[in-house]
Amino acid sequence: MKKLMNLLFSVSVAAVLYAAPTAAFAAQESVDKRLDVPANVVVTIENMRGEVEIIGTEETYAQVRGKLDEYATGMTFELADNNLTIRVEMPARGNFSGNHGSELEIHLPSSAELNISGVSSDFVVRDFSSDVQLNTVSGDIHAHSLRGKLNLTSVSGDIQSEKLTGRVTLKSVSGDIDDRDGAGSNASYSSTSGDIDVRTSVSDISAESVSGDVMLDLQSVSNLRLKSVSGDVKATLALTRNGRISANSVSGDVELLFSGAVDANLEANVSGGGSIVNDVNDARVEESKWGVGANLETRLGSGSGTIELTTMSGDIILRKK
Amino acid sequence: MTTANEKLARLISEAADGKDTPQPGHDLWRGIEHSISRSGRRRGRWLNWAWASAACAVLAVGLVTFNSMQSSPGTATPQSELLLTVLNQQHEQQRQMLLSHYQTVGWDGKSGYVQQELEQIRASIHEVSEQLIEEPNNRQLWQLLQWLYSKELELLESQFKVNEQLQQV
Repeated sequence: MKKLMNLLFSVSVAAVLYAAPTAAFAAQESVDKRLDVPANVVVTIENMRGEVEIIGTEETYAQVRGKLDEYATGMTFELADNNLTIRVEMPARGNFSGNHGSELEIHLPSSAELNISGVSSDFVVRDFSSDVQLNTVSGDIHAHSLRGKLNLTSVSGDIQSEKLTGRVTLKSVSGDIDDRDGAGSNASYSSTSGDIDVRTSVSDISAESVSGDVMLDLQSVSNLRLKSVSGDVKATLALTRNGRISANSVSGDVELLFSGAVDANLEANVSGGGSIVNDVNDARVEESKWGVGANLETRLGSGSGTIELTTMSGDIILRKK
Repeated sequence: MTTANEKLARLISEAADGKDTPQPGHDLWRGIEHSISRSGRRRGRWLNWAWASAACAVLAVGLVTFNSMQSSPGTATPQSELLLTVLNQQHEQQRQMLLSHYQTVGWDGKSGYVQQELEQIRASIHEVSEQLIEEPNNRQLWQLLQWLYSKELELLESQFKVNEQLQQV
């Protein structure tokens, strides 16, 4: 009898141990909800952990499908006037160390305006023609074919984007930013330690970094503002007739590679130990008589534009493509 | 009896009309009005003194500053150096205000995720400030300094916000 009791006890323990992870996984609630929404709907999406894909469609409804976070207590899916809220509800406190975050696919009218936030949640957003505001802390952002006022921010996650049009602002602290085939009025990129890599036809660009490197492959630029502390900055571009370039760096190098003729008054100044390399014309770089610092002032073409470059100890390199 | 009744009825009627309210011997309102206006005048006089003193103080500080700037061109405290000192002090005040604000809401300021970058920025502010003493007319360097100030405050702010959000997870 005692042996039987021990056996039963062992079997029960084994069953509980085996079932525990499965129970946690099984606790992910499945959702499939749909609501008719107006075309000018403003959508707020909140998801703490997991992966959320948000897709713009030609339909007039909003649909959420997938699984909720294993710790979620439910999901709010409500329309009030033209405001739609999609929120994965989580307990106010808790240790959310499990591996099963939300896995959601959200379909919305492509004209919807989006306000998206998460903590460790990754987001994929594609095919929208209105404003998008997206903030996540450690999640990655993938944005594709968006048009409007776009503000995408991640703290430690990477931002990858393609075909963004309008007023684009991409911001990261330690994550990298990679933006391809952008168009529109202006674009602004900011990173602290992550690298910035951009290929765009936007003509008004600003990029700044503390220690990350900045690489810009640009077309016809009317206004370019670059700032860096220790990261290197390299830009390939053509400057418009009255275009303006301003680049300031502390110890990072600044390299400009011009395609086509340049019409601008150029002033480059290195205060500390860096040097200036001028391969754009024959103007001589003036070295400081104390051996520290260098200066270049020259007129390129008709001199209609302005180029002002300053570094403390980084090199300034000017080349033609 | 009738007279007594009539008297009683008259008294009741007068009481109902409020005619028995005791009246002051003279018109008090004039006194109250006078007192209010006198107090207003006194306060006005005090305010005038305060404004005059403040104006004198501002004038004095202005004169001292102007004199010191006039009397020492190109010496120990030239105009640009003074401006630099003021800007650095202002930035330091803003920085301390930000930090103390966050400390009052319960953050101890310990979050190392951009600590290295913050240190780099602090060192750069120092480096650029030193260079501006040598090159006070370098407009780009002044702009770089302004950007470094704002970048440091932005990073400090983001550090707090991130800390708060990560605590949720």
